[in-house]
Amino acid sequence: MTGKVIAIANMKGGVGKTASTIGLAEALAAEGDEVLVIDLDPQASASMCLAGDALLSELIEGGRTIDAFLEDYLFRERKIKFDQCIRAHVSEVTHLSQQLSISLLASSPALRLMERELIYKLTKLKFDLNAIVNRLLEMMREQLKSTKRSFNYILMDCAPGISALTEVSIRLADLVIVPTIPDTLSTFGLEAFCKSLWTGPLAGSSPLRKPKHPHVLITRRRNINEHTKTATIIRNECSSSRPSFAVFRTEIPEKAAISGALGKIGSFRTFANKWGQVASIWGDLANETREILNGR
Amino acid sequence: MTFYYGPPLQMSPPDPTAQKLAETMLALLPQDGTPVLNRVMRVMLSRELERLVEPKAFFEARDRLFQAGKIGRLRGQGGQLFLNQKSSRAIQVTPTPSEVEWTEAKLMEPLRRFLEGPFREGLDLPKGSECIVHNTSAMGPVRGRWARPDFILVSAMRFKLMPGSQIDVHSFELKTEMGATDLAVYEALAQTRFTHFGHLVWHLPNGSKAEARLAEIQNQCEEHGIGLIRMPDPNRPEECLILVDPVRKQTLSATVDGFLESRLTSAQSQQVRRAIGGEPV
Repeated sequence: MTGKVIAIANMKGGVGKTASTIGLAEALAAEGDEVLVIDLDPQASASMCLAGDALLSELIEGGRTIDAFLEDYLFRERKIKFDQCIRAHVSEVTHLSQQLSISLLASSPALRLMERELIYKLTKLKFDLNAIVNRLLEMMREQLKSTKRSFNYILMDCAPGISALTEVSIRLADLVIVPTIPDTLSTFGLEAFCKSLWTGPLAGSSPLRKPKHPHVLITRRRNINEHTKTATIIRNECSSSRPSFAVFRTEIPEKAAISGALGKIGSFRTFANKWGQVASIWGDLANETREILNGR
Repeated sequence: MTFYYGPPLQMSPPDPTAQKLAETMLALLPQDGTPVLNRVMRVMLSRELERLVEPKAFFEARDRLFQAGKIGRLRGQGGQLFLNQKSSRAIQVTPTPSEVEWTEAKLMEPLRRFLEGPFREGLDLPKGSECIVHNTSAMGPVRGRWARPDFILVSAMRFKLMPGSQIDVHSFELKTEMGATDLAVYEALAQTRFTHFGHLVWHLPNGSKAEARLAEIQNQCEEHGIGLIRMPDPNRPEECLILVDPVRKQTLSATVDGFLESRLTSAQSQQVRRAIGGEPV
């Protein structure tokens, strides 16, 4: 098995990054794939949705989080491995009476401080921003090498903004999913995001590994004129001579069922029961993701 | 799209011993005896032990606990298990003696007596009204899901001062001691497609293990506007307790009319018409 890495990122907050991560992870796992979710957001929402309060507390106390790993690895010279921090069988959700095979590398609020400390320490060692990102990139690449063997898909839920870890995830990923609400402000943010990492002059001159072409996922879609118009503009980008991004055929609607499902922690639902009418949409997204990554 | 769940792709470490699984299962079961679905318990074990718990290992551990009298089992809907409060006494897999004695069929007559007696009195119908209690458990479409209440009660009355009349139709879904789950509430709710009031009648003896589910069922009934009647002793139907009053549903008169037409006998229909002063059709 060689797991494909998927980064779910957008500079803008509230566009449905975590919902897309959880929905896609569960849909992939419901079809038999082994999935790892790496939570890179200090808000730890994906960790909470997957593990629940009690288990997440246990993971944080036991030092099995991404921030604890980075601290040990980079500052304490304790060369532990990613795999030691990954918690297997975290999902409460079942499909056809089987637990979804989802593992988690959790996050915690300490990640925010950890990232700041990391940049501060490396800057003192005369690292510039590119060198910091490169150092993290190499470390993550090395770690993922063995982890990839145990999973079909590794999903990275990035924090809003472009932190060093988000940039690393995007540069490492085989597929970058950019959830975007089809409204004016979100589209404006999308343009800025693409310029930062793909199309702008800074992106072109970066010595770092070039990230894969981003794929926009239209999220929180409502049946209103503004969304219809903006979604068309976003889709038209694909037909331009040098498109900045590709667009998923699948669209994630704005539904109470989605926020409701994310809040169903501790209820041990089935996949279909948890997501209701949205379950098939996540299934479509999973199929399209497979198509993009594996050509099937 | 259809989801497929194939065999796990990742090699799992060997299953923990049945003893370890059994101990963990005991620790995870709610102390108050609330039942847990087998499916859910397997997930809880996998999460706790951080490894896949295969069905074979799970059932082996569960049976070990059951034989030792530490847990009880409920059949149906994938099966459930619960912590036995008195772990020294083995719980029978077969239905409890009271369940054997009081099957749904046997509970029908006590329910009829309750409906025709205390329940009817509680409706406080004016003089000249009609109240018909009718067994409809075997009536209705063959393939109609949740369309056959065990009993219906039809009250027909003319107002004392105001012109006009009113017909109220109640449906009753009867459940045995171990038969009441939240699904039973939905069943009673579904029957209000055709009636104005839906009731769940539950044979729940005092001190029954199934009492652990009472709060949840009561809560579900309140949420859905379904009445809940507890029958503690079928030998004394007059002691049935109304725990939750139902909320009147806005079922279309045409729908109720069609339902009654297919359920009531012609004599019963005449009774209703007489009570409301309508002309025979």
